[in-house]
Amino acid sequence: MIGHLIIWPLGWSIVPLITLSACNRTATKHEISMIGALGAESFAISAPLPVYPAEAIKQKKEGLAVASVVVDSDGHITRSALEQIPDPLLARSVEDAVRGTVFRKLIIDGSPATGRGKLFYYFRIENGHGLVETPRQIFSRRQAWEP
Amino acid sequence: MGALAQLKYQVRLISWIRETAIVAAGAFLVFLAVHYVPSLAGSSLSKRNIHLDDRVSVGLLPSCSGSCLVAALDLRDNYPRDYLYFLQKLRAECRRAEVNFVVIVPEQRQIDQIASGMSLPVQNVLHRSFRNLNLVGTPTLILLDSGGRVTGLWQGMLPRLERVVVLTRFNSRSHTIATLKDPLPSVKPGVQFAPTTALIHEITIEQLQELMLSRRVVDVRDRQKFAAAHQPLAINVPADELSVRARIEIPAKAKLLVDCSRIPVSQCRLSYATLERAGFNDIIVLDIGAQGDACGVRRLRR
Repeated sequence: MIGHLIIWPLGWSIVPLITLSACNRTATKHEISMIGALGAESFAISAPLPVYPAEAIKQKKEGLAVASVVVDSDGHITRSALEQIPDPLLARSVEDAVRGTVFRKLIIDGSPATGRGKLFYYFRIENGHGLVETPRQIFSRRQAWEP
Repeated sequence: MGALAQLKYQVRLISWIRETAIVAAGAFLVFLAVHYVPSLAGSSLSKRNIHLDDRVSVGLLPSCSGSCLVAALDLRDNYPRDYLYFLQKLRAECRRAEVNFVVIVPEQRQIDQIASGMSLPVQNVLHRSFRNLNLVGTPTLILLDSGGRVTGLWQGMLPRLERVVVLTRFNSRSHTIATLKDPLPSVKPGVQFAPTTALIHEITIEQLQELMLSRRVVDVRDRQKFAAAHQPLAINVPADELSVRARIEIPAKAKLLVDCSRIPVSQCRLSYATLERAGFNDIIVLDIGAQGDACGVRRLRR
């Protein structure tokens, strides 16, 4: 009874402390920042393109979609979020494309690592046709035209 | 019946203990607020001109040749980043106005940390007992004239407007406060920048408008901050996306004005280096004061 009375005023303040200490016990890993001239795409084995929805083409919705991803050591996406989207009509197809992207195994000094980076998709309409391009495709297209 | 009375007594006792605990906790919090929150403790002291003899013991403050600004800091108090930035600006203003800038700390071991953190010479950081100086709470700024008299005292975390007042005390050109970030080491080994102080150009608001019209303004902050407020005509490319997007979205020969206002210097340097690596060779960095009424530009060069 007395013990209960002593703890009672501290009760609510102790709970978050216990929770915090439990959260801090997560193991630390190596993490690769997948930054470069192509973003996270340069680490991908397969990177499907989003489908340009007909309704979005009809409404002439163009622009850049950016998705951030967290990748486990096997190259699978564990978490993703849309950071920028030209229009909500395109969100679904971008999400599907991100989900279908597979990265190579991430290793630092022989030990597995996680990765964090961003995927970029440029949506544009040319002569009434919807085109989706990644930075890799844009750069290779430009190189083909440059001397 | 006796048991019921005993139960009632116990309930009354519990409620009394409970109320006492609440009152005690409240009193403890008030005590903490009054004694440890500097802005509450020292707010009445700000702006008051006082004599050195009145508040601090003669000889305990560092002897300065000429006027001197003493900043009393304690690393055990956590200062927000923008306040440390304000101190850096203040130090640069002091240097410009030829006022000595000295930091006093309550512990010997904080000297090296402060000296390296603020790029100050070690002899400008001194260990003094705050109690002997009659200082309550930190941060405290004390302005001494050449005769050792206190001509200005600012205690506690200063609100933004007050910071402008302090800064303008050293700088009469209040409409063109320059970019005052001190040169910091470059973020990547191999990318060395010359000290930027000599390359800073103060500009007026009119010149800024001209620059914005003649150049592409790139805002490298994250999307939320950009959405909250940004310069007119600015495009938003967050710093970590520059390496990918700059070459796609910005024409190769574009003249750039990178808005580095209110972002860490390291992030600004990283953005600059990324843009330079992407092939842009005419880049000016814009640094607008925290109050938005003053600005300066700089060219960073390798």
